[in-house]
Amino acid sequence: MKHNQTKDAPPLWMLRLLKFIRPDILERVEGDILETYDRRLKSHGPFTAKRLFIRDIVSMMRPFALKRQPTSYRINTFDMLSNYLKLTLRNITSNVLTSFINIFGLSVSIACCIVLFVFVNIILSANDFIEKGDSIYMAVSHSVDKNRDAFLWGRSPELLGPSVAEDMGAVENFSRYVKGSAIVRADDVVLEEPVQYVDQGFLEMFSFDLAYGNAQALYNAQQVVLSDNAAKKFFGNDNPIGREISLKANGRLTIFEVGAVAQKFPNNAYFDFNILVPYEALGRTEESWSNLVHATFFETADPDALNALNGKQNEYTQAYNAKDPVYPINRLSFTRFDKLTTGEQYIKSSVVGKENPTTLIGAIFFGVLLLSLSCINYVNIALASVSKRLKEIGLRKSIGATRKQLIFQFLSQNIILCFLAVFLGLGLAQFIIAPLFDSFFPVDFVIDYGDSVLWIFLLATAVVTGLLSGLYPALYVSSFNATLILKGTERFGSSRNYLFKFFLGIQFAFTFLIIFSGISFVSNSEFQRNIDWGYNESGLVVVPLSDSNQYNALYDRVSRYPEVQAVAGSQHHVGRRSTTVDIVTLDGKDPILTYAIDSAYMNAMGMRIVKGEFFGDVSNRRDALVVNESFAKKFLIGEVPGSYLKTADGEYEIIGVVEDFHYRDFYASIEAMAFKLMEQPTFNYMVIRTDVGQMSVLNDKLKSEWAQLFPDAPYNVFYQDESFDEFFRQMSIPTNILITYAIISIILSSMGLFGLVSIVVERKMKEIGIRKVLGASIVNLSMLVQKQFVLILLIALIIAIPFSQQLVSGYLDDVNAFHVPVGVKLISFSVLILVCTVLLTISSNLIKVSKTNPTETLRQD
Amino acid sequence: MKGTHLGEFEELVLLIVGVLNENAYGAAIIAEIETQTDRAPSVGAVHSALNRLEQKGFINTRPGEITESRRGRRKIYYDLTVAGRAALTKTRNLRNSLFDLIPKLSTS
Repeated sequence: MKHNQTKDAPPLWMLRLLKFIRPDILERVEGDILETYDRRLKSHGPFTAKRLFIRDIVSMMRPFALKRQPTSYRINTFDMLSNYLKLTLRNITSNVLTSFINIFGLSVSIACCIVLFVFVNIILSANDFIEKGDSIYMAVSHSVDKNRDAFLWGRSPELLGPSVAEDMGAVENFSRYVKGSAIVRADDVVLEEPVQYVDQGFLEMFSFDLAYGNAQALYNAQQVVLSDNAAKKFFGNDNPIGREISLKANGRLTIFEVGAVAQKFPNNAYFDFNILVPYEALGRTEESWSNLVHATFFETADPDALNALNGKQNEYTQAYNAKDPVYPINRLSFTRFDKLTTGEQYIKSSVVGKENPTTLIGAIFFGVLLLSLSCINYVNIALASVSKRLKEIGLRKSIGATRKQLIFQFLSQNIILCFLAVFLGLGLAQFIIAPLFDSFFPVDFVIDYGDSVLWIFLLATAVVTGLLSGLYPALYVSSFNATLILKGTERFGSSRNYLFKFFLGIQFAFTFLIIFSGISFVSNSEFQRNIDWGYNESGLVVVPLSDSNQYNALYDRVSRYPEVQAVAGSQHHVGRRSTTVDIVTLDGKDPILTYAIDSAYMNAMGMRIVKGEFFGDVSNRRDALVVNESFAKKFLIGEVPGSYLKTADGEYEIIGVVEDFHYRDFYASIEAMAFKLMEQPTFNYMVIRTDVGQMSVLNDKLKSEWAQLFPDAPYNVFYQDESFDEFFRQMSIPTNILITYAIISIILSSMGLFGLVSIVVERKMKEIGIRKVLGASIVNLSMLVQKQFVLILLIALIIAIPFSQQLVSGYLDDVNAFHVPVGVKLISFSVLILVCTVLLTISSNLIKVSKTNPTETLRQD
Repeated sequence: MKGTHLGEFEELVLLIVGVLNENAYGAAIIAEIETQTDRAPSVGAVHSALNRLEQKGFINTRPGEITESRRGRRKIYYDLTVAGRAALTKTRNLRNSLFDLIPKLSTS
């Protein structure tokens, strides 16, 4: 038979595995394996033959067949390794301080890395519980904004879903997703809750785990699906299947029953829901192209079918653009669901969340930074304490240790240290760092010990940090000349000092960067808390109304309260709801943020007039606008009152200009905006001004009044000065993390520095003793020790300050429209902290110096 | 030197070596075991048994020829020694005498 037929040839390279086999039986074994293969190829075919071929080779790995190592060599290796282990343990116990610094420092940073690993894991595995993530596609609209800049939009026309499903055979399922809000009532619990209107197939496409019921629930138009959170709110821990629940939205009341309940969403859920309601319940009389839904999803195994839409594209977009919408859609495309969380695409108002890529990079960056801080500690301490082990090295070399063996010894000792640190770090992560991060984030940091990736990560961390931190010291230590060491002339070379100074400098620079960013963030959030909001936000109690009639009933009672200073009503409210009015400009139209209010609103809010007047005296004028300063600047309006403005729905007179105020959080800058009077009295909000001290009294009164008047409506009263609390909470996350980092890195660096200084002091004990005898003061001595460290610190600061300032102010500029100036004050404060830490660390060593009697140190020789 | 006891698989291999007479070498033994029994032993298992049999002195080796199928590897033939024949006889006798001691097994 021919053996050169590649298809049937055995995988000959596998025979190389047999190199472990005793040479005296190798030949016959190989021959038997090959011959048996040929026989089986004929009788059983190539697949079985190859499988058995591999089995035969593996089956040879048994004790009788393996090569024997020379016995003496084996025992030697074992002894050598156990000697290394013993030396490592002795080194740890004899240098308690430096070993503690090394192991503890490493384990703290490894603990942080573990938590960051969990965090990165959540981001990378986002939405992976949706099994069909690779066959679900979201429609993405390509649109342009008012500046004619193209942008991608998560919204799509209402009729797109049904049309595509009808036109394309390959689309197996589709679902629209519309966010809404409804007053939800179950038994006695009445709450205003976000709801999501979806099509029947939603739960079949998105495999959310269900606690009760099944994915068919949505096919019944009488049933809704609750999230775990919503189910707990309305029904506690009971099984709510079949229970009645009523939804009131857009003035219509519908009774549903609970069809299914989802499990608690996993940590990595970047797409979820609160209450799923059948799409028909949206109550639109007719579905049309001009309505938008928040998202449209398609399920298809064949993405080409969706891309082949090209022919139909124009029909769809033209149907939508026919009514001349603010954001016309030029083109539609489809993005795979699992790419929504990972891809580069930025989709405006997408319903699928996405972590900012900088968060991911930041997490990895800080993890690596902390680890390198502790590695530098290790390298520095190892280099500085090498003189202690010089004798050992010399002895080993002279009895025949090769340089390779010495390197291996030091590296293996270091890796043992790192493994110790990893286990300590695991404990620290579980009991200290993870609970700490839990309190910062809305997600739970659960360390999943069954996750093999975690163990691979830990193993890799131990080995990589062990190698990185140990390699240079090992190379350096093993390079000494044995005779010179034993003669006593080899010294800790002065040229090497530069390197450890360099490392120390880097460490100082990193520490400064982290301290500085921590302090900048803290003072920034302080700064933003104290920003003038542009109106008098304290003492304002706001009552959101679900029904316009509620206003009059409530107004009658509230206006008689003695502590109430002013009451106003509005359709929109600053910080909550607004609309846009299209202002006609030279180059088209410009949608301007507008609030529809009543005539008392602006006075009640405590806004400050700059020019003209408020609506007060002209409460019947529906054609009047009060604008803010930015508006006045942008559109260069003339006399106030007396300027007129064309809009899409008629001409307005500008009767007043109000001082710029923060109508949104401090991420956003203040743009042109306007107030107008409500067309009809449609009251969504009641604004009540009172004394700051009276707010909670008023709240209690309102609550009992509300329960009497409107038992079926939710009571959602809030204080205006708390309306940016969510913003501050979000801002506090990076701030808290940075502070934690800053504290940890200060601890790490000062521990490293302490170890270094104590070694330096120990080496200089004799010099210090002589100086003491000759009458040196403690100030002189501290100068002697501190001089070199302070110099390094200075150089590090000179390099780090401009770099850190650029980085931090760049970041704050990027995220916040209003932030604290990153200037001299913050820099000098951070420098002060770092310098104080360094000097304190060094001085704490000097206490020992000042206490020792010089005779003690000098008597030794 | 190990004892002279024969394990089950060792006995099988030893018997096959006897069956193949002059032509017993690794691959042939495996092929013969496959045809005579339902088992498909691995090369490792067979060579492990052969190694033990050789140590116990039941078989001798003898270099053979080179074939194309073996890609130039020389065959090693195995022959039963006198001790090997004796061991086989001994196990057979032991088995037969024990078999006869079982009451009512033959015919009833």
